[in-house]
Amino acid sequence: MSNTLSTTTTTTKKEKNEEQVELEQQFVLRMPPGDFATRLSELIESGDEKIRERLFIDVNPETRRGRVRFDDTIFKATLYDLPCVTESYKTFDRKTLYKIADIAQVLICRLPGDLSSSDDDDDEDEAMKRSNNNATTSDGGNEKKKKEKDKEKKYQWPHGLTPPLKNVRKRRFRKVARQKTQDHDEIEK
Amino acid sequence: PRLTDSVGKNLGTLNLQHATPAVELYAQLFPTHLNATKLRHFHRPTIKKALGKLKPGEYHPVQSVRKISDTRAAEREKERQAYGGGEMFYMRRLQDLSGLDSDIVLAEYSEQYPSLLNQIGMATRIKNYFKKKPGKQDNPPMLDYGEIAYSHSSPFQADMVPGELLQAFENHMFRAPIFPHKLLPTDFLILRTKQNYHIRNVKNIFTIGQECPLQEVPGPNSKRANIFARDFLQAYIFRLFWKSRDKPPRIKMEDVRKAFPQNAENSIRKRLKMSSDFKRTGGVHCNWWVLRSDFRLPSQEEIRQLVTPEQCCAYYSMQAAEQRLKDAGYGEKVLFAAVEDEAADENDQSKIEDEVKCAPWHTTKAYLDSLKGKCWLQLRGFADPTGCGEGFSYVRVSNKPNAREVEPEAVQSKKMVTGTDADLRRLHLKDAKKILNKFGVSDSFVRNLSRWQIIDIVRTMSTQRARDGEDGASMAKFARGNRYSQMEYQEKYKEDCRKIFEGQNKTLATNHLTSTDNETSGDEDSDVD
Repeated sequence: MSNTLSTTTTTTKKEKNEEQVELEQQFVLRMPPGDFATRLSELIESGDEKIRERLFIDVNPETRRGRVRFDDTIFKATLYDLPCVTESYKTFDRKTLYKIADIAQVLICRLPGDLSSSDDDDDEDEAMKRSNNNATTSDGGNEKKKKEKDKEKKYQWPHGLTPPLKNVRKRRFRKVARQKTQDHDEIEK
Repeated sequence: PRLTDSVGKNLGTLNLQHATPAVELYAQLFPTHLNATKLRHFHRPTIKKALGKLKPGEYHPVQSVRKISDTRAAEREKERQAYGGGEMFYMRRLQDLSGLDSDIVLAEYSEQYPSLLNQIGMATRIKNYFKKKPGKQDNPPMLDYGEIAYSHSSPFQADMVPGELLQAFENHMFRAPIFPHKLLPTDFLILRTKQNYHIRNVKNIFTIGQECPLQEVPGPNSKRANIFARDFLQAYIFRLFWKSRDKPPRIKMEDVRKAFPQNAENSIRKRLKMSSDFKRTGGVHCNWWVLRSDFRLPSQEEIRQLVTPEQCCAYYSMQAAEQRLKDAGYGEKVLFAAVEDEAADENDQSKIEDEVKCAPWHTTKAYLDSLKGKCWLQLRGFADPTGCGEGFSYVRVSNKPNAREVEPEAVQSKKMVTGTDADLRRLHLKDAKKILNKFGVSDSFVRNLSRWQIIDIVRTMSTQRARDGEDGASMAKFARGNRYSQMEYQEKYKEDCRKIFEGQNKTLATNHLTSTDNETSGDEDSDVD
């Protein structure tokens, strides 16, 4: 990015603007309910700049794994896909809203002692390793595809962010009538 | 009938100004090309893997936005004062689309695939529709967001009750009821750049109900879509010329091709030729397209008119839906069937697969046509995006009650009257008398009538009963004529609209996680089946 600046000295202000500004990506961080969330909320509200010495995020969007550290507590975290299109708007007057981002993912933190879901995690790591191995063997192709699909499904969070859209994938979204004709192969090409 | 006469109106006062980068269709906000992956993630972008400082495997500090936010607020205020106060437009540059400052609200769509969605940089208004109670001088309740709009008739699919207040998102593409909620206390908004994480407390989030489209989505390969694609390319070329620092302005074919890889070089050349000449030789201009001296490059304002952000959104929506249908196994033949034809009659319509009818180019057109009184909507049916009877099925049905008679048995009996036992001409006098007895007509009365008079009474009474809804099959088969009059149909239609709309609003306004669970298993479901 920085070399754009030095090489194109003739560019207009507008051009610079268009080329160099990076818009923020947005996602939702979900803390375990209770004390941690309350404390974090209060810390943010206080505007204390020291938050940068107390809250840390490490997330790998590809593996969907992450860790969040808040003071001395470390939370394992997983990145899920939200079911609904969620937009982020900014407003100066509370009447006109300007869209600034689409939010599609939520990073869900687990309490350190929460074993049920971390067991799940390990299973999955195993499954991934296995499927990676399979890919190199002769019959692995299809299996891998299926596994990947299952994996994707696994990271689909069932609930929207608002209460009425709880379990929205199952409860509310219209089911798509798929067509399993020869057409499909045509498309795949 | 029209859903409600005022739907689609009230826009005169909308006064909507998008952020400038959106109006000028910056490629960062309005991509010139969307590949299959991008279309599958349409408005559902996954977090990019880190290319900058935020490498996985390391902890990265999360920062407060307080300082930045305060500084920017102060800058805005300073600027405002410098201009002598009053209202200012602050959304002029890309960096103004940052979420690090000012108030943030979230909006969550209840539809899985809303027909029309804002691109980043586009604006929307919140309107608080309020219906006054007759004669009363009541003040509408104050809400945190939005501006009050007094409505005499409902801007939605169903009438509003006096004293009712309905909040809505409104822009040039759609109007949709919205329902305020609080983000869970466990949830925080993270803003991520290549370098930094920032965190914010966001309090307010709206659940958005089914959209009432105010703009049509073009069908794949339709005339409208093709014209848009052409103009989009043309506008891009014009803007490239504006950006050129050379005299005369010149651009390279490759720059256009990179942006429009789906276009054949021929089609790009055709666009370029309108305004410029290709220089094969000629020293400095060699291999450049140079703007002709006799061509007046359209002004920025004229280019803005040529292609609007709204048109882009509609086009993207079409592309995304086309991709979804292809992924679900629908081939091009099925997809393109009867999309374009204005005069597509009911027969053509019925040939289109149901799933394709759910595509936005069909639903938006059906909805807008129904506003104009050209057709009715199915209301309940396969295109209901909720699948649980809490949304409208924007599928066109004829506005003639006769053709709208969809109950299969009724249609059948109409076609098969002759040669069946429903044929009035062959109805034996004895049987006719029996039927009249069943209807409670006394024998003594019947005795004095001729056969045709008796038959006439059978017909009238059967029709009457069928209309009143007590149709046992035995009586319905002698019913003739329209089961409902036009008026009755309208009433029923309006009533259906109201029920669906209220069902949606009740659910989407709910704050309690548990109660929503129960509601599905309730009677809402049975309405659909």
